[in-house]
Amino acid sequence: MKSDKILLANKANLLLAFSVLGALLILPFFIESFYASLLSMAYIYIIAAIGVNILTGYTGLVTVGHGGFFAIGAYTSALMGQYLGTSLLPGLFAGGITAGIVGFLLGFIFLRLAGAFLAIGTLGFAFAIGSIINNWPVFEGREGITLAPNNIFGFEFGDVGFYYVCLITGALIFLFAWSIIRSAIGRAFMAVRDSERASEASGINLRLYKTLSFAISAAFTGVAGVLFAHHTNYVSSETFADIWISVDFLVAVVVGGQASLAGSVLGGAFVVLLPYYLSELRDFASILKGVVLILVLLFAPAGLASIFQKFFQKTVFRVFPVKLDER
Amino acid sequence: MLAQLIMSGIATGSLYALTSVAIVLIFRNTRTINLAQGDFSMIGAFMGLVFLKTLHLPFIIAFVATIFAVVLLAVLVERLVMRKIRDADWLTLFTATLGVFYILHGMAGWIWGRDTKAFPNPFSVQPISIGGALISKASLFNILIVAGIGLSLFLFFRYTKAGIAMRAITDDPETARLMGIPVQFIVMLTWAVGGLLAAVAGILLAPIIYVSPQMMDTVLIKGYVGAIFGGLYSIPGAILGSLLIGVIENIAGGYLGAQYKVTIAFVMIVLILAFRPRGLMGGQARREV
Repeated sequence: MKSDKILLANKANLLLAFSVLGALLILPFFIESFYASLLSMAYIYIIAAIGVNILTGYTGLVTVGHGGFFAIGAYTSALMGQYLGTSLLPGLFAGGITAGIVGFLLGFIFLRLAGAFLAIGTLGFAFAIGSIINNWPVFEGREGITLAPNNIFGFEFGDVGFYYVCLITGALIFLFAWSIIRSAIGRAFMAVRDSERASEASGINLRLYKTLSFAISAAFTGVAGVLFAHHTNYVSSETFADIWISVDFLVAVVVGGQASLAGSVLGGAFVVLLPYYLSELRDFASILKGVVLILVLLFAPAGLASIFQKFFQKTVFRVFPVKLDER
Repeated sequence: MLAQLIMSGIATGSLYALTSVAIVLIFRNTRTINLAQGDFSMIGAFMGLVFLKTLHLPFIIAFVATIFAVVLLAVLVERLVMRKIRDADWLTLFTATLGVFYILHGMAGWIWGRDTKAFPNPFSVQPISIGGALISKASLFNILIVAGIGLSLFLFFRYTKAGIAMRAITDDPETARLMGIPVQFIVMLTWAVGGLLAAVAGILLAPIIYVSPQMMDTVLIKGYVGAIFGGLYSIPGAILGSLLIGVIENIAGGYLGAQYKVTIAFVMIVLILAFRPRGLMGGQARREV
């Protein structure tokens, strides 16, 4: 009986995921291209938030420095475009891989750190990347690098085309993250989070899984960075030297829900769309962001995803009686 | 040249020390990495500006009024936000201070605008010579004020009941509670001391780095580096760390160029953390974190 219910719950989740994806696929036919561009930005933050969530939510290693990997991804693609003439697709792979390698190295350096110490260490990393971009002549500092118009295999496309690129990349990353979490690797991550000693005693290689988690999460954030660079077709230290990008990712994870991929989707959309709708009042947006953040922490510590889950349990699953928490 | 750089490094480092000591104090009593610490100083600097320029109060009165305002702000943050989630994991506590950070940044930008403002320097910048190195009277005053605060903190923790209670909570909150120490009140007092340090830091830094909503962002990072030296635990470690980072970044800035100051701060964090994950002077084992 119980396994039947789990299957049904999984089917319900799957159905939800596919209907959301389907709705987003046909959305550009009904909105102006400007909103497609805004939503692309939301997808970019969602991808980055999924990356941060793997490290912070699932492995329990809090990072305040993923803006650094975001910048590494963006600049990898920008420099490749400038010196090798490559376009979006090679950039996506190269940016993700470069960020992943740097993430692996950083994870190795910070292997012995935990909690607040790791948070401060990663914050320093973001700051250093910003400072390097600002000062190293290759990166052109505040002058910035302009990228060629977006194209894949020579076909140029505009905002709507880019919307689909972001949506598909986001869906693939979501799927990839989902399958990692459901695998032995994901279970090892969560075991490390719940108790380092117990997981080590069960034969989990702490060094391997911590650095692996760092690498995967950095690679995802790097991919988001590449998309970010191609979103405006321009990178400069003006945006990337700012460590508050890193903080925004962490906010997305905490507001959406730690260790919840659906939470990352909600959180990523939250940090992009809220400031946009209040962009006339930039300072007010900052105040509101702080207030919402504190309210979520006070009243829904498990994040927005938990509110939605409760809502679904009360509505949809009342009709299809499935208990999600029996898993 | 070197003596000169060291001297002015100590002058800036002593101002970082105010931030890092406050970070350590609040962290070890509440497990909270306070991201809003810099904003307390920033609000303090703006309040100081209001008291000095709009209300034309004399400097000493403006200084005291600012301290009261910021202490009130810190206590309010504790009462309205942090107390409600005091048992949560540290990421929740940390993100809550981030919420406070956003609110204070936004409020300062809303009320006073985002552009930088000059702050009148209460002390003369006339340089005087100490052992061959020139130092401005203002910097000397800053060092003296910080040293005075350090001494009063030392006496506070050594001889006053509240100070000893604060140390007891640091060592073991549960036992402290069982011994009849009003933990709730002492935690509020910790935030109040944090606010006091922030106000002083804000007023002393304002003439040097000018007043704006984002004035404290980099100072805050350096405050963390200083705090890391003491393993987020030891106050002498935090002071020493802050002086060291002031001196080292000044030497690096002098010989390599000013733009490498932040990079140096990061290199120091990585080196310390990679080899001494608990900081240079933070040997104590702690149960949380």
